[in-house]
Amino acid sequence: MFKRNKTKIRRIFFLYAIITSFLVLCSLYFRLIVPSKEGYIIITRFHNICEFIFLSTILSLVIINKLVRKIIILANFSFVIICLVDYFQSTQPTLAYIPLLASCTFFIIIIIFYFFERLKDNSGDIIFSTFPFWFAVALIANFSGNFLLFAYSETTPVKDANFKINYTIIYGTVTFIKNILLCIAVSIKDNNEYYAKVANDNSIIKTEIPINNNKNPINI
Amino acid sequence: MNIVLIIGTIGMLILAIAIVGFVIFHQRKVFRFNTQLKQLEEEKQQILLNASIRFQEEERNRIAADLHDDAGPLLATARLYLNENLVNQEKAQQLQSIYSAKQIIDDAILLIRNISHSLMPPTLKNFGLESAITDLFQKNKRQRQH
Repeated sequence: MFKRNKTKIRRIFFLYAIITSFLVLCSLYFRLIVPSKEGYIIITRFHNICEFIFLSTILSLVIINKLVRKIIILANFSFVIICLVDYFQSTQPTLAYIPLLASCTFFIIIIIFYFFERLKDNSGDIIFSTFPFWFAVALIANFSGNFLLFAYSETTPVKDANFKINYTIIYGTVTFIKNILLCIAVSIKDNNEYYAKVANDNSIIKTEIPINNNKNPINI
Repeated sequence: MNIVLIIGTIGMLILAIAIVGFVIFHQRKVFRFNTQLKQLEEEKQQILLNASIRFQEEERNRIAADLHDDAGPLLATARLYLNENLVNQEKAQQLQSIYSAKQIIDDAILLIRNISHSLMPPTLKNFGLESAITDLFQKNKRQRQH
């Protein structure tokens, strides 16, 4: 069951990586080869929706609490609605900073909840030898790093050159850190055998001597 | 404003790193605790195993001593009474020897039965631990009264 879930998470992640790459190439096409601000904005907004859906799906597979899982699934629909409302309400073509802020807040809360779940788990797993941990670290670094950036972008005039430079530097740095952490996450080989071995060792020790059980000593 | 943005972003990142660091630190602590717990469990099992082996050894020694010191001499004495010269002896002496040998063999049977009962009391086998303990207490009480 766990193995199947683990494979599913990785498959969704690779699908996310492929679609993100494709959308980034599309946005570059609309920005550099055939300059079209409208096309670039639409592609970027679509990318935001895809990113939200994929990341939340992965997190819903990682989190144990069923209520939070349902909230994550509901959040997908809510985010799509927010994005559509924001797109149709915007007077000029701009990036979706309000939905991005909402997604940042949402993911930070969900990831903190994931860490809280891991803190409560006393199974003895080494947390940093798992894919979901590094995935969560990458996301929390990305969203906490970009949170203020998106908040300021919403209120700052588009033509502020100084802000644009800072935006590029901060966004680039945070994205670089995120990608490095995602690379670590992908390269991690989940060491489940070790935990299985520890569990087996415990069971062997417990069943080796029949003194501890509460049976009648005659029947031993 | 840009400085505030940079400082704020760095602050947010530090906060995120602090959360992650705390989680890792806590997990390591739990892992160490679990390892220690496992070691203690192993030590406990080892102590139980050693106690079990020691108890078995003591029990074997006690049985061996009982058989060697009590049952052995009794049977040897019985054999002396029933030696080969018995047929050459007078009838009254023969009867006396046989009677003495019978007494000794009875004692030996009683002794072996006691050893067997001390190993596995029939009350424990038939009526359980509670009845066996009650029976043992009553026996001890009777012995003290005598």
